[in-house]
Amino acid sequence: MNSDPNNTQRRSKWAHRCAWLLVCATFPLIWVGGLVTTTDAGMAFRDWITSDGYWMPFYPWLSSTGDKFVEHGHRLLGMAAGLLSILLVVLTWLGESRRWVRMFSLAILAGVILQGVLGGMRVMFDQRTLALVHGCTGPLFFAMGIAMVVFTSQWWESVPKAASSPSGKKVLRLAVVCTCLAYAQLVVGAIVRHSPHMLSTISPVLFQIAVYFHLFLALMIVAHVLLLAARCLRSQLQVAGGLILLGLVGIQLLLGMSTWLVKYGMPAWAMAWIGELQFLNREADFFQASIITSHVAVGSLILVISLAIALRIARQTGFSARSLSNLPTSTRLVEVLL
Amino acid sequence: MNQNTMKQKLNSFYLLACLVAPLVTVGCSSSGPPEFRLDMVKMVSEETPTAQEYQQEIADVLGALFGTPDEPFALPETGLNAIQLQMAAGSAWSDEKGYNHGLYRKHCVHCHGITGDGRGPTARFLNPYPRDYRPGVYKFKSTYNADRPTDEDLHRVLVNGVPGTAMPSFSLLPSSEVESLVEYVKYLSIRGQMETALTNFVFDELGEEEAEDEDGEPLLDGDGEPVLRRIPFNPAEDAEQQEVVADLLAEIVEGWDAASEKIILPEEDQIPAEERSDEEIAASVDKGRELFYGTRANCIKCHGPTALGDGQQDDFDNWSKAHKKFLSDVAESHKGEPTEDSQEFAASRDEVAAMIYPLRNAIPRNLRQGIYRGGRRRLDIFWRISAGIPGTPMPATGSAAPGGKGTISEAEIWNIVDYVLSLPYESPSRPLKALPANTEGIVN
Repeated sequence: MNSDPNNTQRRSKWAHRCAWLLVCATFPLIWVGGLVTTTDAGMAFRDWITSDGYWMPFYPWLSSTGDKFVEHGHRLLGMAAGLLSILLVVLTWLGESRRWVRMFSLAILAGVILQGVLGGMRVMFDQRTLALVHGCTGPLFFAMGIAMVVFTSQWWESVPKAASSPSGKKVLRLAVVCTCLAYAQLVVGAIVRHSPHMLSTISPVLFQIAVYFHLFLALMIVAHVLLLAARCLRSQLQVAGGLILLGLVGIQLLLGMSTWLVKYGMPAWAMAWIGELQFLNREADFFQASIITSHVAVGSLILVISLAIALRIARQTGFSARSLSNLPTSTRLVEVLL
Repeated sequence: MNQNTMKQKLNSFYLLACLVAPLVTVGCSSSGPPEFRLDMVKMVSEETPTAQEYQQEIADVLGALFGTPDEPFALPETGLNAIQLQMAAGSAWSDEKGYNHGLYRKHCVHCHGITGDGRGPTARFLNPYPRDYRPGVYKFKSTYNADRPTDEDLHRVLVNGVPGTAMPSFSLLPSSEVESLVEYVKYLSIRGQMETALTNFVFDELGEEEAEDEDGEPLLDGDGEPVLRRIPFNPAEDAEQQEVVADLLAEIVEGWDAASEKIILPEEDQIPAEERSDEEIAASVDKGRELFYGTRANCIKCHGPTALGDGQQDDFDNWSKAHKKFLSDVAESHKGEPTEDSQEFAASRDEVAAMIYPLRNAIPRNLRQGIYRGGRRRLDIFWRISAGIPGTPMPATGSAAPGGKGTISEAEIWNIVDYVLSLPYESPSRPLKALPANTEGIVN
């Protein structure tokens, strides 16, 4: 990537706008995807790429109800994301002069196709494990979209480079760690959500380990995001991003606790201190589904905002991937993290 | 290929392996169609130790009688509705008309487990543990203590949920789906009861017998000792066993069929009038309080002198008692000299003991919270006091069967109902004029 703000390379405004559009379609896509799992609507249709025999755009979606409405809504949004990805490739290849950005747009298109096929296979084979993988790769695609927004932005082109400093490197390192932790948390969260519906003998153990690890990672994320926000403030790098991330993590903690309460009730240890729940959970309740699904969606938001912060700090502090490109993958990771 | 490129590729491979390994682990865990599991606590217990061959034969007979989680089957004599069972069983999906299938796996399996043993993947984290359907014992019902619940009772629990626990209300589900779930819960119960009955039969009646030759003479080995032969459990080829299995099933089904005749119907002349003056209600509450602290109803023994559920705290429900006994038997067996029988089952017992969730005491209800797990109608509380809560230390105070006599009269039960319903509105620190009788030893 070229880090010189006065370069002659051309960024495409239309590709940037399209990337924004893609991200704006992907966030609800993730939300509705989460709703599909929350309401267990994944098998509302047993066919794919058609829905009950209809070619996707022609299925009478607005007159459908329940699981079919949720699942087909997810399919339509997925299709919209696919079309936007194609448009993004066209606009990038027409207006963008940076080769690596053009290649990245192709990677996004490949990502959306893979994600769609994975979702389709989950339906065709009726496999929970594929649903889990589909749930883990969805946020990755969202992250790619956000990265495209950052790469094609005016800011990326015009931001003055700060002098490379140890403090800048530390903030970058923290942002990368936060991004990795946020993604690991999404994967573990997906196991927490899907393992109860897997019917093998190890599911209880898997669920138990995933729950404890989810809590452990939550603590790690809180600590790292607090530190990141403090360092952003101190170094005046990505202050707004750091504070937004901190706010989201706070909301996420509340949503996480609420999700447990509306799904599994008050834990035994908490009951001894707080007493019993005064309200009754209702299966398939809009309130219940909204809380659980919001927890999933905000998790993805935390991931993409951490990534955006990391990318922008890397740009500001003059970190160049090219300088690491000759190193082995593991060494490159260590180089960024240490 | 130079060494550096090779190293890069290896590093990338390790990185990819680290990312993919957890997903592969998860993937491998979900292979194969789901199967009903045997109650291993029962199978390896000291009371009914069951050899592996017999375990397999019991599983086979149960499979023939009840099918599999994907394809449930019920004999006509069970009275279970096959269409409703099909709707509730199998994996979750929707047909083209929008009817939902696989309801049990969609709504229940994560807590209650595929066999209905109350040990689904999430169960360990729930308080109380989800209900084990297999003994056919249900807490919140309208029938006498020892009787099965009616369909209406199960329907009510599903629609109302169990407040204060993880059991949600399914009131937003169409009635037909709730009815299918009720049928499937009954199916799992009957299957579980049958498993217990078959295990008892195999332990009591089968085992090894002295082998005989064609002339009916006992076969002897080289030492002159009689040769022992295992009697197989195979009702398909043994008319006598077939008859026993049919009788056992009929007995279990009869219990469920008779439930609607075992509903506790309060005597109409004893039911308090709907329109009562404040003085009448206060008088009834006072009588109820007296009974609550009295020796006949003896509510304070568990619910405590303040009704905060602070009486006895160290009792267990029947499900936990069975596990507690099993664990203490296993611990005991490690102390004593190993016998031939204990050696055969020692390894399995240790394995099963390790799988048992931590035991929890049956903590009495705090009656001042206004949360009534079995329903908050006056009739619901009447049933709880009259029939007790089956499977728990809460005893029945009403009659044990139609026409019987309880430890307290129906009028007195209604007085306690009034008192219990008044408790959330009464300050626990309200000074009593004098400590009621029967509090000595608890308060001091």
